[in-house]
Amino acid sequence: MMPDLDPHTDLSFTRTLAVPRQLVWDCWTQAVHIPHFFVPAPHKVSSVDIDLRVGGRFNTTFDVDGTIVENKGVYLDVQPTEKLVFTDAYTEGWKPAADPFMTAILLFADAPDGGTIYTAIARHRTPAACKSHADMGFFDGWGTAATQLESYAKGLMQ
Amino acid sequence: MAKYDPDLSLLFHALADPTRRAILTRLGEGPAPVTELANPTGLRLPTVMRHLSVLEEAGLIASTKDGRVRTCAIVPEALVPMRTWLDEQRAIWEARLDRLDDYVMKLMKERET
Repeated sequence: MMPDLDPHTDLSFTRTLAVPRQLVWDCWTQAVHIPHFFVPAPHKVSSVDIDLRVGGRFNTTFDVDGTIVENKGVYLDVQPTEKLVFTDAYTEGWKPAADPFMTAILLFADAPDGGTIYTAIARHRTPAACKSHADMGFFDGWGTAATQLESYAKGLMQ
Repeated sequence: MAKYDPDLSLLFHALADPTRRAILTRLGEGPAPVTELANPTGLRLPTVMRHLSVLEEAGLIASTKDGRVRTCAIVPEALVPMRTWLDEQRAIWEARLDRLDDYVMKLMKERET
């Protein structure tokens, strides 16, 4: 079910993929997959620590030009192949985070012919609460990163 | 927070209230005197004045005084920093989902072969 979105702070994206729901779910919930899409090249996801249950940790470490950026969060809702919700508002053990920023909601549904329609909703607190990796310029040059990635993906397909 | 305009917090705070958003909606139709803005809210004038000062502080509205009448007008460009910020977030997610799409399709192909 779609929550009411605030156009000032929330974003919603819907994609359709010709792959089964289980596979998309696995990509979002298994540590082995996260590094392949979570941050733009040349940055890296250097570690992923997942405890897939409500209240379980979803911690990632980014390597941004040699600087290590730690992101800690927890899962708020885990409904296999249907719904995944995580936030950085808490860390494991429901410890409130000092500087919470967002809640991500992923919804998975069947598309015709065995495909998957998935919706990603990012709900943000105000940008005043934006985290340190933004301060560090992590998000600079995203446009460039996306372009690089596109050419990389094209290279893979050849 | 060097990356973002410091006024962004004021902006979000100003927009976080339904009365203030209603005032902005009204001002979207054109400038209006304070009394006209106050009437539909059913609030006392000092309360409305407080809301207006929050909006003005955030740069969302500007007011001018002509004799005893204070007229408010919307400042549409005040929303630009906020839109920029949200556009950045959008770009992050779009790119992330593009990468996921590519990656998951690659996985799928590997499975099929």
